[in-house]
Amino acid sequence: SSGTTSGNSSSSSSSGGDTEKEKIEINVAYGNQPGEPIDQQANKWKELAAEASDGQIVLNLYPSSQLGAEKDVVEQAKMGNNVIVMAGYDFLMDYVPDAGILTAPYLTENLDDLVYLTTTDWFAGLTDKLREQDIDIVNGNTAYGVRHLMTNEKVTTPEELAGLKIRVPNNQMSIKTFEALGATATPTPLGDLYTSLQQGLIDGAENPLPVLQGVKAQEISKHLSLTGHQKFITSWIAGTGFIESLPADVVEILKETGNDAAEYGRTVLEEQTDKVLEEFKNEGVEVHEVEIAPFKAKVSSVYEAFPDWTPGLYEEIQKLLENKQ
Amino acid sequence: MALIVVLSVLLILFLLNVPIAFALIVSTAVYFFFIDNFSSSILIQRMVGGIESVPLLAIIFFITAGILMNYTGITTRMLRFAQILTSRLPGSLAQVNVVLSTLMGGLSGSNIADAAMQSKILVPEMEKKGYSRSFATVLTAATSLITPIIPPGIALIMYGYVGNISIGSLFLAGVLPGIVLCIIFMIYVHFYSKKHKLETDNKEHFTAKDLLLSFKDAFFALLLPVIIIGGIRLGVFSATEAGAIAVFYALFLGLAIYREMKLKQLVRALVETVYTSASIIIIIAAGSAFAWVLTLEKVPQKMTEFMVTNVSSPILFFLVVIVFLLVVGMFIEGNVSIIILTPLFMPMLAQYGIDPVHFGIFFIICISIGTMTPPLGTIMFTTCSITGTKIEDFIKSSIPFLIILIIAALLIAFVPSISLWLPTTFK
Amino acid sequence: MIKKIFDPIDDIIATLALAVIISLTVINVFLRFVLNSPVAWAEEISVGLFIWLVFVGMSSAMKRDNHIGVDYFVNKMPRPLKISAIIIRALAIYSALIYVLIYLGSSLTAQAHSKVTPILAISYQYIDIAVPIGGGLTAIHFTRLLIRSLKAELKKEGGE
Ligand code: NA
Ligand code: NA
Repeated sequence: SSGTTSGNSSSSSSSGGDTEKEKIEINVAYGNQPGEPIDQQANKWKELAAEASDGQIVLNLYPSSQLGAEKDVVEQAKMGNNVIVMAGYDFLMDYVPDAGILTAPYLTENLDDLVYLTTTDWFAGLTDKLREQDIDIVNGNTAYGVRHLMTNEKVTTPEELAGLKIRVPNNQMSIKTFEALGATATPTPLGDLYTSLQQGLIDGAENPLPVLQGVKAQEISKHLSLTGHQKFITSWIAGTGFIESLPADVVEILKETGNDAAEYGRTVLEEQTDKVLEEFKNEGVEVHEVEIAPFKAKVSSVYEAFPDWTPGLYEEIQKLLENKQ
Repeated sequence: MALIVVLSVLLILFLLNVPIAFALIVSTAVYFFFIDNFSSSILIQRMVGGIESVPLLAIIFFITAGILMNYTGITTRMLRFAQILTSRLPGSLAQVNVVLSTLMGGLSGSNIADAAMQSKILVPEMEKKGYSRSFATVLTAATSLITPIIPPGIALIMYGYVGNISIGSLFLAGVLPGIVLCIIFMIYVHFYSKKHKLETDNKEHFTAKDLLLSFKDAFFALLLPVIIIGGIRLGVFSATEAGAIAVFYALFLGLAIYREMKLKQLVRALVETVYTSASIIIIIAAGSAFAWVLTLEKVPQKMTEFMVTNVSSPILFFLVVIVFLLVVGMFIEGNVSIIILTPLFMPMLAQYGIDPVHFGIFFIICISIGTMTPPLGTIMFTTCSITGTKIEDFIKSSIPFLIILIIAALLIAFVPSISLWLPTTFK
Repeated sequence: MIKKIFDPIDDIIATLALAVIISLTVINVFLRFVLNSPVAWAEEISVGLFIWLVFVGMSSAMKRDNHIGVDYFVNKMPRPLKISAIIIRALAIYSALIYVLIYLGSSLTAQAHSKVTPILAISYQYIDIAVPIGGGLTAIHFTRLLIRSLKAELKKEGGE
């Protein structure tokens, strides 16, 4: 019942003559839970794509990693299967190393700068390199949020972070960042975060605020340090083989509505972040503004940690950002 | 359409004695012939991806620990301890059967091992004391269901893994329901033995000194569940690591304390673990590929919608689920049910506001009941084949036990504090 | 000679994997609790070896006819039906082993060259290849089992 193109002839429309186009069902997978900003964005995308295509494009959404972990669904996509999957640039780094710099700590001041980078020629080059690996970016500028640090004990300087076990996602960029900061980077699945905090297997976590609230980290960790160590954008990718199998206008609609949905998602994210910050305060979380400079100084070594990057990559990015102004 | 074919192929292969893992693999492969969305090699990817996880390591650890226990001489010490504990009660050997399963529950993760061991050791002895073979066999089968609920338990680990629920909390949640089941069985055995005049005048009396001595012998073994739960709660190790600690503890007992184990036996135990655990985990692997098909077909959502529109209250929900699970349990192996059904239940629990930890204990008891019934009762087959009981006799004798188990399941469903009191108290 | 080496090969591989997994996990508990510095890659190695344990262990289980199934109905069947059941069963098992595990497993392995583990960046090919290897070993042991059971069936016929 879930074919790529399932001819829907049941619509015995009264308007007679007009032949309805064959429906195109596309599977969309992501790791976030229903209700989170990413899920709201995906639902918006589904709605916009259906509208723009007169109901021809049907996006089937699979939240909560239902189709498999990020690495597995990316593999499915690369093989040309019918699926669009949300993937972080830290993950795409395994395929094209330079992509990882978009998630490097303190690369930009804010999310807007990152979104700007996705409009540059440099990014277009990145897209071409990914395509050589059978990966097509359908949307490259989804705002995931600004990552902050949440700990059981107060942390306002890198020195106070020394030796603390901080849960990080299981990827090189996050691990190297927190090792550079002096913490013991402890990669565990996000789903285990709450119990790990509770049992004292870890001393803290880091993520955008809505995600931290989603796993109820604030129930145990009562100190939020606004480190903003990563401004985080993600991409929605599909296999090149699959994209080429779709009609050009359908791909066009997917990209356009994907952009609109990302803008909508950005608004949702910002509203929710503000709301969550208030709720954290109400639940007794102490919010600490921290001085960024010492953190930034500590992580400069991360930029030396990836020998596969094109030489001068960091400088190139900085030049691009200067051109923005 | 594709789904119906897949389910039919699965059922036919089940009935033709195709091992469950292979039946799941073949029927999932059939699905890929029907769709042009996904290429078939995803089937392998879902099998590998489905078991690529740290929590599942706990299963091999606890299986290793359980098998090592058999070589350490713990079982005989536990048996002696149970005998002395129950020596003054009527039907004492039947009481031993109940108590031993509860004690072994703290060491072993699966009910099949427990049922097989006691079918061999206890049932012949019970027959000599005048119990009917079918009663002794059914009692062994029924009480073995206590084992997976008392931590550690493989079913608890799998439910926690698939449903993304704290395995530590599930372990704590299982303790009281396990004891409740033990007490209910003991009460039943008491009245049964009195009615049938079985071992009502026990000659052999043990002294307090005997009790103390046997307790001393069993003490280190009884310490294991305390170490596991304590260690998890205090943050010394995770539920998975607790399994590895249990292995080392069993080695310590066997080599240093009881000194009954030799290196050769250690190797034999590891090999035994390999084929025992591989045959379970390959089912989990195939089951997760199968569950992926159900997800793609949106079966969980459809079922949740159906439930929510037709079943109004949580109480009614529990009643519907118990009937459903009893039927499912008759046809599908327990571990397989957990893998396939847990993702279907999770969205429903959210809708009805039921704590997944509470539901997990109920769920595991319900599907365990199915292992005692035809047509596909694994525990029924295991115990009957060892003791040589006819299936028909087993079924006849099992009726009071099934009623007891259903009452226990309902008790656990409607008195959430039996399962939730410990996890909330020790938070 | 070859048989002597081949026979226990699945047991040896899977048991070694098990021993390493247990040791790594215990050592990591110690490193974290006592020295406060666990090694992040320990779990990655353990999980990779776990895949080997399961798929090669599948052969160990087949060798001992230890895979969980239900022979209740087949045993109740009249003899001609029973023999066709044995044949269909064998076909199902062979198709799972040869088509799915060996063929699809090899093709997944071949495609996995750029997929790497997160910390050590080990190619998934080293993990996925356990599937066709395990499938192959299992197929060999299943064939032996099948020949043995068919011989037993035929003997029974002679006796009747
Ligand atoms: Na028992
Ligand atoms: Na147990």
